[in-house]
Amino acid sequence: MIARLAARTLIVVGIAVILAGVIAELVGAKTSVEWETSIDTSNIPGAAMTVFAFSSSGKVEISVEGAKSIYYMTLKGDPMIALRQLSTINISMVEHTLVSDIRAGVAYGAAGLQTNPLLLKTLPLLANILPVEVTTTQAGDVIEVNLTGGNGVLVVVEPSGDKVVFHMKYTVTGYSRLDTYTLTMMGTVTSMTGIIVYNRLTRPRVAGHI
Amino acid sequence: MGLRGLAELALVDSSDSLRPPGFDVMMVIIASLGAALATMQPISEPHVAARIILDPTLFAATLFLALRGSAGVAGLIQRGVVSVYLSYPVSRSSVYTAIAVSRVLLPAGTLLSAPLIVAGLVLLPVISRSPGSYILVFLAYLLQACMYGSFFLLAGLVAKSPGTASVVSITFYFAYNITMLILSAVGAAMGNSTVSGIADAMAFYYMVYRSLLGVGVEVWQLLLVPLLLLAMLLAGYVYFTRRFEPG
Repeated sequence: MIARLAARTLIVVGIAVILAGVIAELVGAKTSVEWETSIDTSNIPGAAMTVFAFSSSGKVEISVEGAKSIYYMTLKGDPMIALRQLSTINISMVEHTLVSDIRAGVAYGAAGLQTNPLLLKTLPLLANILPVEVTTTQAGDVIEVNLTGGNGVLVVVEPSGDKVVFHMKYTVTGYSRLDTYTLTMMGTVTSMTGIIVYNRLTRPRVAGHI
Repeated sequence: MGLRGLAELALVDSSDSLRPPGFDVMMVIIASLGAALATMQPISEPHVAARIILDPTLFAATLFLALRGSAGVAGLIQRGVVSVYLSYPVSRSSVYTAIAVSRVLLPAGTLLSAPLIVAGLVLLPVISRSPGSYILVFLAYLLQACMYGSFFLLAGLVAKSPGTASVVSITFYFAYNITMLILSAVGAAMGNSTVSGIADAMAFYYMVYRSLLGVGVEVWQLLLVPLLLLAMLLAGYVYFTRRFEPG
């Protein structure tokens, strides 16, 4: 019974591995993604951008145009949740966009922030009440953060004009998989082995037949 | 006879609980889903890979357990097969353990491990960096599935009717998950970390995953689901060895 189950599992694994090779060729993972968006800040005092690596690890580079000051923090868990939690200190999101790019294993988005302008200046104090490190950077600097799976970065910007433009580049690191040829060969060998073993185990035993 | 009898009975019963083609079709679907999820995303860490692959698999495996582990056992009672099991020269404890192994542990383990093996092969260079964390997340999902399965088994033994057993089992599964969602939402709305903590603790795999991410997890949160599993196995054991009448 156990041998039969193992043989059936081999057949299933073989089929799935061949399928994995086909999927990898058709809609395989991407190792980099770039995104640019702008937020109209003529009527709001701030803007924010977030990048969350939900399945991949990688290096994110964010450059901001139209910023007077920039604060950013790396977070364990989804930064969109952190962004929503900002409403508890009276910072709320307006016109937010969120893109979930499953093939790059990353989600990113941007939002306008509606709040008292003075409140944004107090963001670095967050580090005193939350387990996050808030970093202040100069306008024009490129923010570079290494993200691991399940972590994200949140960038909050105090605008200098009517528009803030975010440019994000995310490059996946540490990803590697077997190539399609190896997967196809491995899947074929595994499923064929399973079929042969299962066939031998379930063959009717006839008297005089070895 | 003890252990050998138990193993033989578990094997006999698993020829029904794991019978093709239903089980094989489910395995193919789950393993293919695992293959798709492993190749579509650039997963860079073993524990992240295990979570992404096993999240949808747990749902499918649980529904399968509700059918074969609960309705299937009730069917065995109705058809008189359990009476035959009880006529073997093995104790009731051994019969219960054999049924728990063949109706809960073996199907859950096989269904959850099929996509895990596939993803392990596809992402071999990533998984080989830390196979321990990959297997640890798998064991956490297996424990959660066994917790659901042990309740389903108890429902099957008590209900003795396949229809009732499957309805009770599926209702329990959805009630458990809806309770988790409600507690999570209430905890977030009230800003109460204890309520949110209970909701998180109801998903043992999430607690293990979070601790691998380096997020703080309290000891009681890691104990809730294992204790529920023990309580349900014990309830099933006591019922089967002291109260159960196959007729």
